Amino acid sequence: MIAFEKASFGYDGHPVLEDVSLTLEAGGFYFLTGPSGSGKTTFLKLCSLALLPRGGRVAFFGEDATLLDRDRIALMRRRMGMVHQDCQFIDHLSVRRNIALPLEIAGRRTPAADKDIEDLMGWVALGHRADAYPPELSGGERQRAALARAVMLSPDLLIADEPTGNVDREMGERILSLLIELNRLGRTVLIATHDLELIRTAKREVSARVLRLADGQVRLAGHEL
Amino acid sequence: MLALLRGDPSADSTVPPSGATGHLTTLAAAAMALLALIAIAAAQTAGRVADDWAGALDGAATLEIAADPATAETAAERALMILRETPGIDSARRIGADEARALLAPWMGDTSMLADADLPLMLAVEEAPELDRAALELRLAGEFDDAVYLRHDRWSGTVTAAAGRLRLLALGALALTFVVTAAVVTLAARAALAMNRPVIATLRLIGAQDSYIARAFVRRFTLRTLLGAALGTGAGTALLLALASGGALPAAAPTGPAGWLALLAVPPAFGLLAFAATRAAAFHELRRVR
Ligand SMILES: Nc1ncnc2c1ncn2[C@@H]1O[C@H](COP(=O)(O)OP(=O)(O)OP(=O)(O)O)[C@@H](O)[C@H]1O
Ligand SMILES: [Mg+2]
Repeated sequence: MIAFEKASFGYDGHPVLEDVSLTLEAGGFYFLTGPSGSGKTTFLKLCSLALLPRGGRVAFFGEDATLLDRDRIALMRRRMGMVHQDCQFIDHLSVRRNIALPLEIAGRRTPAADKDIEDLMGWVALGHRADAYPPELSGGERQRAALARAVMLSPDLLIADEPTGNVDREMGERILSLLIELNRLGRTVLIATHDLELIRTAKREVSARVLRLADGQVRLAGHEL
Repeated sequence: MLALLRGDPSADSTVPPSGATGHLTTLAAAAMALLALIAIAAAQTAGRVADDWAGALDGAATLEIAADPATAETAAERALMILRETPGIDSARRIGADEARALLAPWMGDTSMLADADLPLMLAVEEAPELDRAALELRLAGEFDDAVYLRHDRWSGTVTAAAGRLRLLALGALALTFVVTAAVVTLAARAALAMNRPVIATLRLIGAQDSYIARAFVRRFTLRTLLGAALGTGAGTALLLALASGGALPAAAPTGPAGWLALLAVPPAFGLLAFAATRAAAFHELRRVR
């Protein structure tokens, strides 16, 4: 699905990732951990085409990232849902519009899709907040709204950066169960987190693989967790 | 372009309304359209004057004699006689009062109130190539106290050249209104795009193509410019017609379908300009957001 081949990245010469080679398999459930500042967000940005590797290559569905033009990047992003660490919305549009926006952009908003939108908002338990505006949402509600928007186009890959970062344990587990449910539907899931408890909880439900990021290298973690 | 006017409610509403910047664009477009109209009218008038003079005055000359009404008749007859016996003069005739008024009208506006006595004594002369002009002018100077022999091609050249330069100047001013409009629209569009960078980033993140994002901005600025240009053109047309009918500047009104068409072309031309300028600005600005 996404293949890193000796990919490197750094900001202004200060390296973050060095010669990373790994493949995210379709249908896999991945956790990405590592100390704060180790480069988790950077890695996810490479996975969502927000950054391009400075060396080596990253391929999406077999296509080299550096060779994609802006329109291809946009089309590629419709195949992957992204939940950022700081969920961005369009503040003057209702939560419902925000969640439905990927459909509108893809030109797939039909009357028939309205029911899907309502279902999706029920799935993340935001049905009652559909007519609110993003600045009125709590941190957890924002995370869930971002998750709903990310899966609106039924993407092949879902990427989430600290999706449980600013919610309590109960809400964190609720979000996790939504992600596990997605994975059971065949979607690939990649989550950056430093919440080891969350990883343990997940491992009871799915065969999650844990990638550890340290010193610019990404390694598949053993069974120490 | 048509699809643009109809709009895409989805793309349009993703960009928040931009208030004051938008009104300023409309205002600037209105002012520029008004100036463009004045420039077009000036160019048309200058062009018309140049054409009239160049066509009507080819090979012609006028003898103008200052004479008080009492002696005008005898002076006219003597002048005609002199001209007719000069070799190299094809024809000579007296210009009547009505004709004189018509000749002066483009310059003085309503000439009907000029009394016959106020009009100079004028004779129209057709020259042949073999005319010894120096000899004729010498003879006329001997006969009359104050006779002016005007060879039109000598100064009609000056008039047409001046009119031509005026016309160029007017066209230059017209071009400037387009440049300024494009600059204003580009600046306003860039400001709006920069202000909405978070919205643009969010739209890109969820898979929006540049054309989708650009559409909302392009439509907005094209319609604002179109509205402003229409208002400016309306005001400008009213101004020109008022100038013409009030007698202040009779040549100001557009003549013929081509003249009117040039004025009515201003709003669509401005709209097209805004379309191109915003589109260029949008795609330029969007490249900064991955
Ligand atoms: N835009 C940027 N410009 C320069 N340096 C950056 C930029 N973004 C991140 N960095 C640096 O790159 C390194 C990796 O940052 P990154 O955000 O990927 O870490 P992280 O693992 O996600 O951290 P956290 O767990 O705190 O979210 C850090 O040292 C950070 O300071
Ligand atoms: Mg991070």
